[in-house]
Amino acid sequence: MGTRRHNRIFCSAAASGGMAASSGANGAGAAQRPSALSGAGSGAGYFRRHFGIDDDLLRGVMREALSRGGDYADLYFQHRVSDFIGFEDGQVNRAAVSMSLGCGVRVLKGDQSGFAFTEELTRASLLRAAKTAATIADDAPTAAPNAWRPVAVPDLYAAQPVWVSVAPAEKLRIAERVGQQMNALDARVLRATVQLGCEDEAFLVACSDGALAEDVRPMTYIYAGCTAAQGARVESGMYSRSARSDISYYSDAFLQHVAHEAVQRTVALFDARVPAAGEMPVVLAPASSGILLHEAMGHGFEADFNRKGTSIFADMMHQRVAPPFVHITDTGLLPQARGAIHVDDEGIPSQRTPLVEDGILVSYLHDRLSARHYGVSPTGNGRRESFRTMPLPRMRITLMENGPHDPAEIIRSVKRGLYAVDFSNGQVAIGAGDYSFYVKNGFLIEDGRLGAPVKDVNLIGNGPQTMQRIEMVGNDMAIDGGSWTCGKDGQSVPVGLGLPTIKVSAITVGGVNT
Amino acid sequence: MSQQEDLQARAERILQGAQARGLRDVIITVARGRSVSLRFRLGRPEEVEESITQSAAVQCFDEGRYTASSTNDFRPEAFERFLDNAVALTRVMSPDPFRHITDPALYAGRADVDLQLCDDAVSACAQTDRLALAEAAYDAAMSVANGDALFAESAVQQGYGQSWQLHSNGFSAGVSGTQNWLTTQVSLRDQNDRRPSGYGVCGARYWGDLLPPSQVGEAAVLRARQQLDAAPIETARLPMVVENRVAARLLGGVLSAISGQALQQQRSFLAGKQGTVIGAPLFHLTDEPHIAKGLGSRLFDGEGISAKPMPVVSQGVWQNAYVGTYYGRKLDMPPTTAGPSNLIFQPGASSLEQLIASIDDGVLVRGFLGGNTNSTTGDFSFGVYGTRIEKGRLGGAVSGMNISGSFQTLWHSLSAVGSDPWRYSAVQVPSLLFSDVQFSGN
Repeated sequence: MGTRRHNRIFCSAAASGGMAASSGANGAGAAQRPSALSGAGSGAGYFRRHFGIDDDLLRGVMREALSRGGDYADLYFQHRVSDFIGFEDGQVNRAAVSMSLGCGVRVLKGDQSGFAFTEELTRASLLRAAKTAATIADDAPTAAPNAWRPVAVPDLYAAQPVWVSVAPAEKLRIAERVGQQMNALDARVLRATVQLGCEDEAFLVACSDGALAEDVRPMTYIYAGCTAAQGARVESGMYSRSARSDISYYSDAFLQHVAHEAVQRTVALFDARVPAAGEMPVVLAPASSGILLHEAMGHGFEADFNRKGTSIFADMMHQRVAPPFVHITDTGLLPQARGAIHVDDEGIPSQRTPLVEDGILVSYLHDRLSARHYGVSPTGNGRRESFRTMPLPRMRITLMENGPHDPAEIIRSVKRGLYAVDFSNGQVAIGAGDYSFYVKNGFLIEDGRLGAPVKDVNLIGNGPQTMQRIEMVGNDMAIDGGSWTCGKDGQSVPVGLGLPTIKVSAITVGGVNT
Repeated sequence: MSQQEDLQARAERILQGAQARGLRDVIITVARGRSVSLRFRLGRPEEVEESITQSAAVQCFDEGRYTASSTNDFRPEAFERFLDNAVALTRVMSPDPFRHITDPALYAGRADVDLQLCDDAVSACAQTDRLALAEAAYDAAMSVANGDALFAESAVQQGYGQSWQLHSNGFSAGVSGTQNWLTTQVSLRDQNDRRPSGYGVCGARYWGDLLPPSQVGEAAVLRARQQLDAAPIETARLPMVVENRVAARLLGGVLSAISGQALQQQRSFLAGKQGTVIGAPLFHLTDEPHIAKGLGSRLFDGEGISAKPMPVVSQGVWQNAYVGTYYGRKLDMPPTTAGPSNLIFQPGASSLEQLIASIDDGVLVRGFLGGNTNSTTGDFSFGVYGTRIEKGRLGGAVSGMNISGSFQTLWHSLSAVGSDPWRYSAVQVPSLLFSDVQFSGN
């Protein structure tokens, strides 16, 4: 899910761990409203207890950040502990742990940004970073807040470290069990690989308007990869799931489900073929087809692209962008969902943000900088990969609400077309509006019925055009539980997707004509 | 003590700490870096960034048990805990008979050459130097755009990194390197209210080797103009020229299939085909680790294996796979190296213009948009944009198209290779002409 590429300067610390790109379909669950707001800062005190970051230190660093007249500043502390367990060739034979600690200091002056970070949380290092970031401005000092105002947050996930206390042997058994089940499920399975990732990410953001937010975000994912052979034909498939959850996520039934799906999605490919090339009607199955929203529309709605005039949606606010039965929302408020956040990385509480209502574009996705530019309230979409990067407007969980149509009726309405089920990746060109996404599994539609299975085909279209071509929206919206990760400007963040069955009158299908 | 000596001393302390916990075989990599960047827009710096990073990575081997852990938290108590945890995690792994520290014989034969990876001028550069370069590229773009630019931005990034790699069985060596990047992005608006972007980009180890900023700025405008009023064309099988700047994307399908892991895990459409013809005779690819100032140059890899030039594909015949020590043992193959250094596609004699002139009806692909490859079967499907070629001349802009097929056959249809390898990458590929490719559009 890349958008703009940026060359990254790097130095060669050996990276450990890592995860494959993601996917999966038909995850259970639908959008739910959050429970009532809980008390202030659910991860409250983490950085004070573990690193001695107290109010006085925060004030001192903030004063330095504003010492040259910046009109906004924030201090973003982050401590992330993640691990990875790998199963291959019948055994758990690799693991990795990664620890990352630091603080990013950002200073804004108008729409200019100064940024520096430090990996040492000493007063001297923090002051040095603040002094560097402050140089974007050149004016009389701005007043720093005298007191901090804790930000109230909802209660969507544990908000405390849940993985650091789990014994490695317990995690090992999870990966082992899924791998062994995959090997036992079907004699055609040649290779089963499993990756289990677990993470506790604590952060504190102190803002020059006095807001102070703290949170701990747990995350886990499981990836099951399968290679199978039938005669001379070899195929590979995968299944992954992810959530902001603890070890209770991995029930016996769930692990069986993961193993089963990975194997079934692989052996189903033996009967699949690459479809014919060309433009045709496409029906998108529920859940992971939400990648269409993410690529074709979601990135174009991110306000930084619109603030700079580079998005094709830049002049479309309050205009019709889709038929009246289309409603699109970005939300951070689904309990335990991978894209859920209690508060964004600029201290703005998470929310449900309608983007398209009755087919009309009603809002962009804002961080503080773009909200100030447009004179609106931030929408809680200011996210960053880590303390090493500045926040940008980013999606959380982007979904289309239920529509008026029966999913079976939608399929019946297509004479000849494609039913796309499972996806691996996508990309968009923000300005031209062109998007693409890769279909791993699907079916032909022939005379209103699902026909032969298809695989490995890219779909490409133009975002605004595709929005107008949505002809039917089903009433079966589902949130996908796959481990989707979105990349933008070199930063990766976890996101979610959701979609009911929808029909688009024409998308270009990258098949092969024989 | 120099900075490199300081890193070496840190690596030795960590090694002692790991061995004191009962491990015999350990690989330590410690690194430090400084990065600065500046983005320029609307006639002034829009973003300035500066950072210093440091890290340590520890690979533990314990009678076949293996873990790799990393941290940037060097507070003494925290680091001791990190080592405790790394060792404890290693002890619960399953013993894998194929997992050992690198055989010291593979450390031998390291080339005695100066790769010229480090430019002293980088640390001497001031913010005013970066500002001047970004501003010059931005001004050039704005000048050429002649009032048409909806958006323009230039960015300069510089990085300086050092690392030290220490193995408990005798390997000990450091690396220092610098990089400089200049990019310009321009957006224009066309008659259909699309806003195509164009990029100018160059990167080099040495500050003085960057392209003139005017060239980068002007390239961004030119590339945006090339996509004005772009639209899909009809579905057809056509010849395809892929521009040098993006042609490396097509190598990905082959590279993913010739890794030791893909071969051993049976996820390679090329399994069993080493030594056989996998493409046209013009398909000629070598791994060249010793290129002076090369963005991927190295004297040794992450396992300490001494880097050597390696033919990958010669006249269409697949010669060598990328195999590290672990998958080498599993495959019973001698290890080469786990991944590419500089990949050099042998240039041909034709200019891009000559390649275009040789086509009656086809497409010049200037960029890819999404898509993927199935390395197990070789199937691929990519979104593309570019320009129509009609009777040997460039026609209208093309977008919203897919190309699809199989890497089992695509490289056999390589019919001409350009003389213009793209220099600003570790993967240097010239423009390529394929005679028969499936395009899907209207």
